[in-house]
Amino acid sequence: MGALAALLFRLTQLQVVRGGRLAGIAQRQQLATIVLEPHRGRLLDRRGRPLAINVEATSIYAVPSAIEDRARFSAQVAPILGLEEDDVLARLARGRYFAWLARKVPAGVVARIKALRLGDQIGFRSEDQRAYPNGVLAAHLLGFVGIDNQGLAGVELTYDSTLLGRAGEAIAAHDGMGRVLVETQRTAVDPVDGSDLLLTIDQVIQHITERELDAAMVRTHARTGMVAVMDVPTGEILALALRPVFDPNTGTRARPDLWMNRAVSEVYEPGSTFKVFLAAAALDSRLVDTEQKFFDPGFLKVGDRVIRNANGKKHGWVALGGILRYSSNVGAAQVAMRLGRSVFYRYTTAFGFGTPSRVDLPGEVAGLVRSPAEWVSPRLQTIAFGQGISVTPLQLLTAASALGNNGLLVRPHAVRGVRDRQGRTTSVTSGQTGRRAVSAESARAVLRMMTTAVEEGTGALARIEGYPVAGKTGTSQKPAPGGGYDSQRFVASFLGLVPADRPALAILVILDEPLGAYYGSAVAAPVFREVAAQTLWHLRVPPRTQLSEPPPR
Amino acid sequence: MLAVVARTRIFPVLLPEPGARERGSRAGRRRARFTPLTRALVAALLVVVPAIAYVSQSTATTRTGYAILTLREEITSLQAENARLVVGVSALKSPERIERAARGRLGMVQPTPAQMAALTVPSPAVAVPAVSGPTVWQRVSALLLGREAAASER
Repeated sequence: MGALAALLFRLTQLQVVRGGRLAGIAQRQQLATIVLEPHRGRLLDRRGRPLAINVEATSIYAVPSAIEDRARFSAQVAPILGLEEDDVLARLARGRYFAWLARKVPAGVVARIKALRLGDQIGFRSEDQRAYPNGVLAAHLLGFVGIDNQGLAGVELTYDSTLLGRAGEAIAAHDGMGRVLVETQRTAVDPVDGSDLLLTIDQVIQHITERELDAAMVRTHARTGMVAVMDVPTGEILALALRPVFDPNTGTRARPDLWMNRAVSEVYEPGSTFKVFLAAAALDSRLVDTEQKFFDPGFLKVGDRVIRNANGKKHGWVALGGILRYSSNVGAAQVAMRLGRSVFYRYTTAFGFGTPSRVDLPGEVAGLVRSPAEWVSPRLQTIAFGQGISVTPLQLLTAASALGNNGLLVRPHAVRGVRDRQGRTTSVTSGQTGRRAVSAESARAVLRMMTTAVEEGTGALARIEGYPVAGKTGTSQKPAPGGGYDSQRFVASFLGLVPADRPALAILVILDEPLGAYYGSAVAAPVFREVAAQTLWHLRVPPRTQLSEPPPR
Repeated sequence: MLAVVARTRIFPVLLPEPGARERGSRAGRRRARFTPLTRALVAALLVVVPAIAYVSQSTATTRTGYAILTLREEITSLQAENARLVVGVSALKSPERIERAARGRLGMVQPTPAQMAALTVPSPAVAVPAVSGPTVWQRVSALLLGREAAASER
């Protein structure tokens, strides 16, 4: 009877007197908030082929409070994880219940750690890891993510919030082994997976572009190289290749100087490719017509400076078309003087130079177009052939697209649309700006001149059988560190549109400091030809003229 | 004179004992059967059976919970495997690998422009499905249900 009374007393004490407090303690020990991680959206090419996806990786953490002998523990795990023992000890000192040891480690390492049988001293957690199955393909455009799957470069950075999704939250009790008791789980906030991005690039065109650029890099030993392909009517970037390149799978372990997307983040002096915009300004302003001729004796004295043609060539009397065909610096300088600085400046900015193109890639710079007040001689004359003005490659390509688009500017973009996880398109990107750089007639007239420049002038190596090509070569000296220009270092480039009668593609090739031959006509034009020809075949654009030989049967 | 005197005779009658009437009744009989032990057993049964039912239900729930947890882990594992396979497929289908195989293993070469023919393909006739107008009943229902009317609009 006495024992029963004692039991009853104890029962009352536990259930009634201390019941509330004990229940609270138990709840705190058993219940835990679980973060329901969303999956990052995928990056797909314009035909839905995966360019960036998620795979599962295991991360390893320690439970410092469960480790009795920390020195022994660190001596066991450090060699397997590739860490110093002191580093492991420092990590253990940071928290009581949780300390990351290694994130997203290979399966072999996980197996070796598990083999140590460290029990509750160590834990494993599955996390999403970004994978780029095509390796370096389109690395600068795709970008990469950090250890927590946050976008750090490229489209991954620009669209980070779209790709990231939203984490959810649930509360659940855990059993003695730390497993979630599913029946107790209550979801407070559902996780929302990130949306997929449908990019504008075409995996095949990107491959063609990179292959041809690689071949050109080997041929010319250029310091850096870049090829960009744009869909003229829409401003969609079909391919963007830069060399040297990094593997986005290595992420932050790659050299930081390789991350920079020089197509938008670096400026250069465009050289003679800029003459096409001078010609467009001259025709559109009606200050110069197609027949008007300028005398080119091979040099032009402007103040105390002498402007010369490449190789000191003399072209005699040349019209606007001839200036483009022979890439006459002297003729271009005279046209610029006819326009005057305010008119030339107005058209320069109308083509988008000096302001960011608003491309959806991070790190874009505006370029450098000085105010007209600073366009004093000889700057006005040198800008006519692309010296004294700095542009980004993408600005140049976008301006060329305007010529192929009847004078209308487009906004370059790398993302076509956003898809939810069910594959439904939730938003579509438009490249239309409604801004006009020049009239349709002026744009068409310049395209005709550029076509002649390829057929009869400096761009001969850019010709493609069956397709008319409008293009312009460029060879610009690089600024010398101490001022002026370096006569030994050049940037070779080619800017072209194809088919010239109704441009579908605008392509820019830039090779920085090629060794040996350095003219754009010799080193950049052939790259354009190869990229353009294969891309036209891939896109099934029919040739405009009959090919020279019938196919063999 | 003899007088007739009525003889009194006492007949023994078996009278019920006090309380016997009650014991003889149905309620009495029942009360007689429910001894304290029986009562204790019944009470215990009433408590224990629901308790056992509750515990077994609870156990079943927990067991199902663990089964769900295992299935969830299996789903996650299969999804991870699927993701790995997608990576493998993407890598195998990469243009760079296909080109290498085409050139190296199959000896294929890039066609020259002369080896290609552009054929004029007439655009296929667009088949326009015959769409009949709405029937009277469809119109009536459209009038009554604005939502369906909107859905039927093209």
